[in-house]
Amino acid sequence: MKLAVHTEGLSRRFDGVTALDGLDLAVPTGSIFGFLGPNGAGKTTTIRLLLGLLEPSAGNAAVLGRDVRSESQEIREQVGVLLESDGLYERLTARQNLDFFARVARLSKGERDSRIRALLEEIDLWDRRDDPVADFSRGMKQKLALARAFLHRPSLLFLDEPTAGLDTPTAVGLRSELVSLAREEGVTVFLTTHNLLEAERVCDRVAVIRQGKLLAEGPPESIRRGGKRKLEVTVTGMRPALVARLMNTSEVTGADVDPDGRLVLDLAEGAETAPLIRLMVESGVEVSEARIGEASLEETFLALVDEDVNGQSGESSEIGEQPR
Amino acid sequence: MRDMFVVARKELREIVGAGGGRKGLVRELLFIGIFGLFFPLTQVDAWLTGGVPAVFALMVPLFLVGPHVADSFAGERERGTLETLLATRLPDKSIYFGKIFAVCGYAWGVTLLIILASLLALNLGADLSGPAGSTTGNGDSGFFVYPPFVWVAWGLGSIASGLLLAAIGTFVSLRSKTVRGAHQAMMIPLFVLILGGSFGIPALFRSLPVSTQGRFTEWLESMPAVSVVLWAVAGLFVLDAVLLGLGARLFRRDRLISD
Repeated sequence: MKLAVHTEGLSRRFDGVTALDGLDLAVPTGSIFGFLGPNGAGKTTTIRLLLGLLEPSAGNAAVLGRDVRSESQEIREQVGVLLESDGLYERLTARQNLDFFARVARLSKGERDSRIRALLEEIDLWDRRDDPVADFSRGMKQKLALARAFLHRPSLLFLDEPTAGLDTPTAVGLRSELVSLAREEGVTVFLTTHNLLEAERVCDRVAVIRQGKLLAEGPPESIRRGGKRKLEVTVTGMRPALVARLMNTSEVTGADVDPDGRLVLDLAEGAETAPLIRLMVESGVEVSEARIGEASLEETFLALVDEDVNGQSGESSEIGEQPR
Repeated sequence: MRDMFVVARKELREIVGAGGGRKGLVRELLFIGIFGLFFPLTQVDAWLTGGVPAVFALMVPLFLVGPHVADSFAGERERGTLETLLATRLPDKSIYFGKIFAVCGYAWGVTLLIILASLLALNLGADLSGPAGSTTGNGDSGFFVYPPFVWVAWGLGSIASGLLLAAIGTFVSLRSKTVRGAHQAMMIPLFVLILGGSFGIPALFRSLPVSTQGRFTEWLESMPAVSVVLWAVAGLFVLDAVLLGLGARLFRRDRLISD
C-alpha cells in the first residue's frame, strides 16, 4: 500500500521540552486521516515537521515519498494547508487571495482563472469574489481558506482544526465541503481536530496522541471497539448491596448509578449480559429498559488519555487493522 | 526572480490598500501634497538650486519605507498569515527579497511622483523669472528641469536609502511579536538615519582637523555635483548589500516558526 505520510521515531524537542516523542505513523494514500489529541499534544508540531517548517530532533519522516529534511520544498509544492489561522490576507479580496496563492503555485493564467472561479462557485463565494476578506464572516473565511488549500490540486492536504471556533451549522457545512472536495479530487487529508464526532464521521483512520506520544491508531470503529462496552439499565429499587454483587461478577469491571435510577455497568471483554439482567430481576429490581452501548470515540479517547495520564499505558498500541 | 515578483506584487497590493481600502491612497496624496507641492511653492529658491529636492529624494523614502517594513513580517505574524506563507513552495530568499523589493519599489514610485509634482508646482505655480530661476538656466521662458544630480539622487539615492532602512527594518520586524512593537522599534533606526544624516555627518566633518576639512572641501568642490552624489549613493549601496546579505542569511523558516 502506498503511504502519503510515513514517520519513524519522529521526535522534536524545544529547549529541553519534548513536543513529539518517537512518533510512528502510516497514512495511506487517498484516506482521510484524523490526528486527535488534547491541546499541547504535539499535533501542530507534527504538521510543522511534516511540512519541513521545523527540523526533526530525531527520527525520519517522508511525505509523498519525499524526505522532510532534504526535500521540504518539493513537499510544500505538492501539499495544501489550512493551519490554525486561516492565513488569508484581509486587505485583499477573495479573488486576489486565491490569485496570489495560484501564482505562488505557478498555475498558468487560464488555469488560474478557471480554477479560482470553479472553487469560489463550489463554496458559494463567487458573488463575493471582489469583496475584501476583512468583510467576511469566520465561516466564509474558513471556506475560502479551504478553497485555497485545494487550489493547486495538491496530493495531500494538512488541515489543522479546520472547524475550530465555528458554530455547528457552519462546521457541518465546512465538513461536507471538505469531504466532497477531498473525494472529488482524490486527495489524502491529514486532519487534526478536537472534535471527535467530526473525526468519527469524516475519517477513515484516526490516531490518538498525547504529550507527543502515540496512544492508538486505526479505523475509528476499531478504536471504539478497543474501548469498553457498557450495559445501561433503567431500574427501580436498586440497592447498594446489589451493585456490589454485580461488581463482584467477572462480567462487570465498573458500575455507576445516577440519581434517576440509571445504572451503567462497564462490561469486561466478551461479557454476557443476560446473567446480569437475570440477577437484577431475581433480586427484586424492576428493570424497565436495558441497552448495550459501545463507547463513543470520545469516550475511548478520554479513556486512552486517562490511562496514559495514570501511567497505565505502556507502549503505544495499534488498535484495529494494520494499513495494508 | 519570478517568485520574488509574485511576493512583491501581493505586498504592493496590500500596501496600497487593495480591496476597497482608501487609507493608503490618502497617505500617498498627503506625502505628495506636502513634499511635492507645499514645500516647493513656499521655498522656491531652495528648490530651484536642486539641493533640497536631492536631500528630500534621500529622506522621503525613509518615511515611506519605515511603517511598511515594520509591518512586513511582524504584521504577517500578528495576522496569522506568516505560517501559511512559509508553508508554500516559495524559497526563503524570494519571500525576504520580495517584501523588500515591494516596499522599496513603492517608496521609489511615490518619491518620483513627489519630484514630478514639485517640478509641475515650480513651473506652473512659482515665479521663476528672478535671479534664482536665472541661475538654474530657466531664464524667462522654457520649462524648468532639475540639474542632473537631483535625478541621480532620485533615481539611485532614493533606492539606496530605502534599501538601507528596509534592511534594518526587516531585522526589527522579524524579531517583533506585534506590529505595534515593530513600529515602536523602527523609530530608533529611522531617527538615527535622519538625525545622523542631518547633524551627525556635519558634526563628524567639523570634528576633523581643519587642514583635512579644507582638503576634503577642495576635493568636493573640484568634482561635479553628480559625481559627489554618485559617490555617496555608491557608499550607501555597499552598506545595503552587507545588511541585506546578513538579513537573507538570518531569514530562515525554522527560526521564524520556532520563535
